[in-house]
Amino acid sequence: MKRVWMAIGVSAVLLGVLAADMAAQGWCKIRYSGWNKNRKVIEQVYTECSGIHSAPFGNWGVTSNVGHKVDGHQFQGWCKTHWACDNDGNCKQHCKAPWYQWNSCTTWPKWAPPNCTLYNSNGCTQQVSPLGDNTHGATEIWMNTSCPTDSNADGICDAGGCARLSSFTNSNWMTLYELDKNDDDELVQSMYFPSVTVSLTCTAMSCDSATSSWVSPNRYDSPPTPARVNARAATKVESGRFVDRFGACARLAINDPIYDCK
Amino acid sequence: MNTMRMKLFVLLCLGVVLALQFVPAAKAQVTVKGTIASVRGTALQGDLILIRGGSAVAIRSYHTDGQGAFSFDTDRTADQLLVAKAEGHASSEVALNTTGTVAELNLNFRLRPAGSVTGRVVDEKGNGVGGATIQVRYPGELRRHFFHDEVGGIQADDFGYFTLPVVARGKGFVVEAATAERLPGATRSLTLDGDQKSGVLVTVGQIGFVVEGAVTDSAANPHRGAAVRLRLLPGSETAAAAGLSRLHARLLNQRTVTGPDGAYAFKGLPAGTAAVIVYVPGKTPVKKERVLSEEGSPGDEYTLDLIVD
Repeated sequence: MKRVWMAIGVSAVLLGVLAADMAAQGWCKIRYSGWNKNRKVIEQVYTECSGIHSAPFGNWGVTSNVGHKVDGHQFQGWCKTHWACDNDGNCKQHCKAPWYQWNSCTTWPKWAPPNCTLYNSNGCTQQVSPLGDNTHGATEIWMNTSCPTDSNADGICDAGGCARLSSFTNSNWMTLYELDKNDDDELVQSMYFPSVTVSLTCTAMSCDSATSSWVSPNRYDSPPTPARVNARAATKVESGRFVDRFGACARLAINDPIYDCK
Repeated sequence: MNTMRMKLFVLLCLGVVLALQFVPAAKAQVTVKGTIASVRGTALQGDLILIRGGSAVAIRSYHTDGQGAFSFDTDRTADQLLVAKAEGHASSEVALNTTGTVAELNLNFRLRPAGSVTGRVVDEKGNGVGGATIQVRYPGELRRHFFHDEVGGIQADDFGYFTLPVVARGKGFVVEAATAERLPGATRSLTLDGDQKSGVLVTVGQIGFVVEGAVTDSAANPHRGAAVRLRLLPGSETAAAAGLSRLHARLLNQRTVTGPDGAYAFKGLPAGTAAVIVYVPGKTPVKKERVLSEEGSPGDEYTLDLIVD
């Protein structure tokens, strides 16, 4: 009989621990984004060379670890509403606003060097974006965490929740496309960057914004060589915020004062 | 008798130790392999994102081959999430628990094709509401990883018009909208059958309550740049919505910083109990609470001044 009661007691304790563990379930919602800067085209690019497009200029989009390519400002070029003449002497306004575009067809003879109207850097051989940092996508991830707790009974949460998080590490990659509204988007090249770590400063209820160091690509693909483009990339943790999804932590606070905090 | 029992016990222990020698040790890592394909079974070249939880969040990227196949090794950890995505399709995710003794996990993702949805955010009178935040939710689906271009974070333009570029086809979805001053509102369940759906109207909720005040010391000198946090314990209706809707959830835990005059404000709040906590470096945090009554009128303002010494 004694053993039976002992077994029931042990089971109850285990169930209690399990139930408390399930109840003490909260989420720290981390919003992070991918950023690029120092964008340049350093080698020949052969996209959008056919006559139906606005060759040789084009707006580029980015598919990446933080999102899909969109017709926006993901990888801004150097050319905007730009008066340019080809090697046959035909002149007109290129690079339609509002985009900053790249010369996406640097091999086209009509526009080949020494025609400097298509290049703005390194003796008319490269293109460099004059614009600064821009983001190519953003993502949100809900991380499992414990419910916030109040360790000094002042009614303010000072442990658990987002405070559990100390760092955020990821490695960025970007695949660049020349975008076309009436045709398939054309692949330019993929860039892969080394992993970066963001140190997080979090309280139980939130995390401050923080940015990683900027890094250059350490690998290319499609094609692996030569490196046609270059840019630096960084990860920005925009914010962290504790979320009591379904009110599990609020329910816990009804019976246990350590969880009864704001 | 006791000696006999002792001998039996020792023999039993030895047996257990010997038996353990022949149990194959679990590999330190688990191989995760599988494919990404469309719902019709066509192989898709795509990408995978592996998120490992814990205090040090770590995210790694992997890519499929031309036939949509992938394979990688990962640590034995309870809290991991694997997200699959491919161009022109809505992403999908699966939680991984690799703490067992299984040496290999096989996962086959089937992604739905995606299209775009355009529409307009309006108020209760049908007037366009500019600058609203738009989000998509799939009823019954509890995701942990969200690409903003898939599910929202998108802003409507000054006239309330918006475009959601990546919405899953053939699956019920709800479009939600909220502004800094208005409570979230949502469409009924919709379905995208083709490449695009247009003319979707989202009616935002009424103007919410405002909690505002000033942070000063006891001599009435303002605390500039003080961190102010609002935690709202909502009524049961809002609490249930917050479990499903990210726009509702964000109302319940907000933060801001006081201006030069020590002033702060939180707008667009639902009914509930609001707690405002102020953090000034080197000082003990101060908290005040106020009930935001369900009987109140839209836009009601509640003043909570806090003194930090």
